Amino acid sequence: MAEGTAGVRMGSKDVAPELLREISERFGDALEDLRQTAPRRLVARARADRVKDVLRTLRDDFACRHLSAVSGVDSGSSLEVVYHLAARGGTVLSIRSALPREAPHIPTITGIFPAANLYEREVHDLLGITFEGHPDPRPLLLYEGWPEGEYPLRKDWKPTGKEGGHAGG
Amino acid sequence: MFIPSATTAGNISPPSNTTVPVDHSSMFERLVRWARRKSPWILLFNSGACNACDIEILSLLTPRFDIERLGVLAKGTPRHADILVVTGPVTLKQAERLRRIYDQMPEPKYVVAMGACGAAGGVFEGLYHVVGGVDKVVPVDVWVAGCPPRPDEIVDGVIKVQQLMDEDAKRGGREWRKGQPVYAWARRT
Amino acid sequence: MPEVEFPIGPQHPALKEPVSFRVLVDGERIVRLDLDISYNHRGVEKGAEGREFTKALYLIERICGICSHAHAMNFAKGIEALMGVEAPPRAQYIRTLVGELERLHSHLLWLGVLAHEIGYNTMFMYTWRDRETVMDLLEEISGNRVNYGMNRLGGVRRDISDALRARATEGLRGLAARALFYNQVIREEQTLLVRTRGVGRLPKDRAIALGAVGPTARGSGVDFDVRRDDPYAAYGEIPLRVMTSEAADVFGRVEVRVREIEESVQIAIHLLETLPPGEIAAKAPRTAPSGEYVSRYEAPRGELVHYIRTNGTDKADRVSVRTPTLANWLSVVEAIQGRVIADIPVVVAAIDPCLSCTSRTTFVEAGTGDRSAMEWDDLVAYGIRYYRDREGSP
Repeated sequence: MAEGTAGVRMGSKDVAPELLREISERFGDALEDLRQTAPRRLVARARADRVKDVLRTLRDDFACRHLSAVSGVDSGSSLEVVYHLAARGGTVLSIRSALPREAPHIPTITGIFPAANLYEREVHDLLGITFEGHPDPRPLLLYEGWPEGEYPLRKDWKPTGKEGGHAGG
Repeated sequence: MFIPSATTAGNISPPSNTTVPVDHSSMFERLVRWARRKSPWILLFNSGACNACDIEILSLLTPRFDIERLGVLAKGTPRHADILVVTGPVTLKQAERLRRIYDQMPEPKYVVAMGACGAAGGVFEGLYHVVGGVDKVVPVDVWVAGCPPRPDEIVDGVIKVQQLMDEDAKRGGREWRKGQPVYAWARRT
Repeated sequence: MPEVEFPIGPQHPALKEPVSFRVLVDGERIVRLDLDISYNHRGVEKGAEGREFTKALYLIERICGICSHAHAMNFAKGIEALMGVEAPPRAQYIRTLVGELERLHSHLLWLGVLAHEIGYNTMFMYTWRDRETVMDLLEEISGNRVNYGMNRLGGVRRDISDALRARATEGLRGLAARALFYNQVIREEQTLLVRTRGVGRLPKDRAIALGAVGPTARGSGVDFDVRRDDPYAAYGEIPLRVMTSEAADVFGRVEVRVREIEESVQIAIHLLETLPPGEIAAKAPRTAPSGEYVSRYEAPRGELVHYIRTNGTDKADRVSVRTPTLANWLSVVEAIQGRVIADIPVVVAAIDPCLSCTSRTTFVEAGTGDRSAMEWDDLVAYGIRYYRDREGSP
């Protein structure tokens, strides 16, 4: 029987503070508002036209070879894409890029992270963000009868009644 | 530990306010009815389920629950199936396919709706890609409750369908069930 | 150009969620594989935005019935992180225990399904019978065989009695011997070896570039496991061995999971033996302050990510879920290229998809555009015959 378990979540040392310093030095203002939000969690912002370079550098010079996920978020004032990279020491670096609601597009990163292929398709389905240059921009999750231009994860989206599927019983 | 058993199912008897018709069916008809009841062929349709119901159905094939001893076989095509077992809340993608599968099954056919999702969409009711309930797409004969139902509860459901098949056949179809409260013909004696 | 459309029909109950494939073939060889995974989309993420945390927890738990605890726990610990709440040690151990039992049931399920896909039905029956030991334990611990509902915000919902601990440990010791048996079978059973060795090659650097996770990645030598790299719950302080394989093919993925069965049994026994005393839940507030958090979990299929944003209310502002299977599909597409049609069932099963193939696979002949369709069951049977014919000659 374990005695006096001091903090169950010990384990790997948190290298996020060290990583934060290195990244900050390297990127300067290409990465804005870089900060640590929790053990092993860093966040930052990047302009849409800088995202590709930032991600490429993180992959090549900071050993961020695994893209964990790409999330789309409707923050109200803008539509955001958030890229989650697995960095060393179990750190996750989440980089968000805000896009204008009327013209939400951003270059695809599939050339740098092929893994982004399906993730970007999903974000397009749910939020209507366009990933320029995506090799295969087809719907991923919404079925063939789903009306075009309806992005359900947008905060202002309401069902139109045309989504269908209510066959009689 | 609960030991599953096929005999946990009660007998189905008609509600007291209907008259039991005289059975005029021929020997052959009775034989077909017996064979169908003895060995129903099941078609499984996942209408967008989380898989819990599906893996509990799959457990039925394995030694612990062993549904084959009841003569139940899973078949791949609607054209030979007696019973359609549907899991999931019916996603928009699957609604039309579900209807089509049902239409391809020859009569007499029966539908079992699995779990909370089958009944009314479960936790997914109201979500934008979900119809929410199997009976919004096809008529349902038996609902098996649970999230997911245990394998032995599923067996119970299948046995109830077998008993229903018998009662329907004696009465020349399912008309006698119209207007009856659902539980009336599923009540244990 | 003749186009033959087959009606979609569900098949063998080796079912999880439906998916359909479109395969471009050149004779027997696969040029490209395409997937349609919209069958199971329900709209859970939107649903989570409209429900208080506890209700959202029950919804998220049912994203997948096989790894329901993974989803529930990942969400719960994410919200707790945002609330600044820490579940007490006993709760963390119980959560970890249920998580490892879930890994066990999932891997045994998968091993049986894989065996079935190659026509090895005895193995399917063995593994699912052994799996019942785990199901019984999960039922005794949580009250349900599937969708255990063990998590609540701040901890777990039920405690484990000392009597149950003893029974569980004994049941697991029996499983430990079975795990060794399976480890032997996969290395000696000819049918399995023929269908898995050299099939579905996925070099390590491709696995990483395509975003592969879990046993799919570890089977190609990628040394990544969230439990060790980004520890949560009890993982920071219990012994854990991460299994990898250098085989970089279907066999590698099989080998990793079978050894993980062994390891999960050991972890579960350790957790039961060293279960700390104390409370099973801390009090969680009703609302969470504004913030964002990436919650990660090593589900049986690999890294699961919930990106959560909160806004000071009792509901999440955004819950973005990236399931491990979504991360692994591209690896299937790559690994199947150049292989024969008969390999499809096995290469797909090797990622242990939390999507199974009940719908049709459509084949398009490159060059002529001729289309034909095959039901999954027929594809499995075809694969079995194809390899038997090759094995069969004396």
